[in-house]
Amino acid sequence: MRRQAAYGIAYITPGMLIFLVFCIAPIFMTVFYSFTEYNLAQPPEWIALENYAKVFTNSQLRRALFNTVIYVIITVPLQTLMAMLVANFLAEYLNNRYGRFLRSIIFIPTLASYVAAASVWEVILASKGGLLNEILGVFGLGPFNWLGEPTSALICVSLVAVWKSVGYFTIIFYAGMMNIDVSVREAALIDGATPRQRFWKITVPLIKPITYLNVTLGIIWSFQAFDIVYKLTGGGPFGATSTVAYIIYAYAFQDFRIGYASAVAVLLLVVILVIHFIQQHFFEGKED
Amino acid sequence: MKKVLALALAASLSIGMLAGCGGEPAAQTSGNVQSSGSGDPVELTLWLPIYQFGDGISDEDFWTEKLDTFEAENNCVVNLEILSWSDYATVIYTGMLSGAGEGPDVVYVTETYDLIDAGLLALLDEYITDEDREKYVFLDQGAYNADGQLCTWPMMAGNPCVVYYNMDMLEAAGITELPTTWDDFYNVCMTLKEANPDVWPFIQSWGATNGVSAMLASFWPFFFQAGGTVLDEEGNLNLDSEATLEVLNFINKLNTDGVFDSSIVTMDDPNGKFVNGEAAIIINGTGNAATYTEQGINWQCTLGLEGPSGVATNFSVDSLAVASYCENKALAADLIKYITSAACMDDYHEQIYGMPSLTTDATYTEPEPFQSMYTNDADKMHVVPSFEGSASFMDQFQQNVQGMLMGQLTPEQVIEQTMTYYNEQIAS
Repeated sequence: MRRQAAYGIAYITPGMLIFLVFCIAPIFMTVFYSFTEYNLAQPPEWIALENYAKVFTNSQLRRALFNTVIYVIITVPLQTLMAMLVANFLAEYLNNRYGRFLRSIIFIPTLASYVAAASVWEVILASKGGLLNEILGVFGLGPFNWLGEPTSALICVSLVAVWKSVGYFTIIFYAGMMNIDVSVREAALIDGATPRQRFWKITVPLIKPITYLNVTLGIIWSFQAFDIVYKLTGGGPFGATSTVAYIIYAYAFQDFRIGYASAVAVLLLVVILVIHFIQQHFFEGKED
Repeated sequence: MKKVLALALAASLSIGMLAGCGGEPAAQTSGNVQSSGSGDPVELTLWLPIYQFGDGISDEDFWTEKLDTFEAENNCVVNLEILSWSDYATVIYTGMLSGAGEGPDVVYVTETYDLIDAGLLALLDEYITDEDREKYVFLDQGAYNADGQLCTWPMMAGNPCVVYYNMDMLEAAGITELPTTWDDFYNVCMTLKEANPDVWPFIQSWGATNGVSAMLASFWPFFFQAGGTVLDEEGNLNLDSEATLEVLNFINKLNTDGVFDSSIVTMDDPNGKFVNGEAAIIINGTGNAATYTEQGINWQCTLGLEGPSGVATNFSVDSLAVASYCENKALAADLIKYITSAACMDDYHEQIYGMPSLTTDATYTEPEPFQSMYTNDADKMHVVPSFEGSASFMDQFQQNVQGMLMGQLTPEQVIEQTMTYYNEQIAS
């Protein structure tokens, strides 16, 4: 038994070392740097809570945090629900070669680079000569300045992000649904359950761990939103789509204020952790 | 047996990783130190950005050939790396943190404040001779530290932001004379708008992906025309000024009177609009003129408008610098002088990228009308100096100007809010 434990420890040591060095240690380093003034070139200088005092009075950051939360609120439920419905459709009705083809099509936006995707949507959403406005123009609507108005800009950016990621989450949901025991579904069919009942009473409860995974990943990734937002709107107009991740990048790698950027990153980490615990509580509560 | 093999593999992975973490530190002098008396050549690492955007000889081929001469004359080896422009300032800064052996000994720099502040650049004064001071015409445009010592040596000085006019559009609107003052310019814009409501009379880039790009041609030329100075005599940011207010009032007037439409706040490709004939006037670098000609645009340009303080515009000065960790600084300085000499730069400007000549003995001349501008109006061209937190400052300024263009802030509020943010969050 002891020998087996020794083997086990030996097997996981390389992975654990990599995990500790590249994942855990940077977190502690970030927390340490957040209490310092540090520009990478000179040794960090301890300044205690000075960075945090600035962070809490930073109006730009407050706005970015607010935008990021709204972005998460729009993207996560929408992409989760859409992915779940599409996956259910594929699993229930299209589990054949056409379904396989459709799965590939749905997955294409996930494969596209953020810059390429944003460039395409920039053309679609352009206020003058944009595809969407041209189509709406046929019906006598518009033109609308989709990316030039604060509210619509944030919604557009969020919807593009949903478009980009829904294929990824669909595939995960689909894999989860295909793992549901066929006998459960057959029993429901024999009992006369309608498609809606089968979805809500059987599929949704049985893929709860998958839903938890997708929601968790969705929240974390949405809080890190950066590239698609900045290619589409550059954080504008008037900061309406600026995100916390961009602010961290700008402070750290444009101004080389690593200490201050670390304080913002720690704040973001705390926010994500709080949301994660609430989410965990919510899912566990449902299970009870 | 399988377990033993797996364990061996795991152990080798662990050891490999630990070795990677705790290995012998890179020799502090590996990049540029003379070998121990064997006569091996000294090595210098040189980082330059790509400038060949056409089909001609590549930057790498051009410099490799030129550097052969320098290497032979100085018994040294120059390891050349050509970098892309993507996140250039960040790449340089982090690259220089690697120190000797990994980072560059001689490097092309654009943003200098952070590099000087971090002590990454060597001082160059001791390598400048009186002859150099006579010969190198842009030396005073290099970057200096707080003590007034030279840290960078100009290599590319030029590309001023000039005002381009699509003459076909102007003529169609009945405009025969190019505007000179801000008032003339405003009137021309209004005439163009009336004549052709479907095109932008004048276009700016307030939706650029960052503040540095947004302000380059949309703010700084007007700022210098209004008599603004970016830094005061003590080196503090001086944007809380009458000049800034005058510029913002003028841009605001153009906006409220319909020269811009509401998409100005998302406009990130004004050059594309001008090239496609969707805009009649643009302010842009002289380097774009060839593209406009290639695209068949009937253009004319002027250096700048006459603002409250006269005609002026901004231009760029990018430089070469020696890393503070370089152990052969004298040789590195010689390399800089060689690169910026007429022998190299005349060919470089002909074959790679046109710019005003750096030295009095150079033979290259810029195409007209730009050569005349450099000859006659050099005193009207101003550099935007690098300053603390400039990227974040300009991002914030751009956002607040967007707020003004959306009618949510006044010009005074743009200045007040940006300066408050800068003083509270950015300035040390």
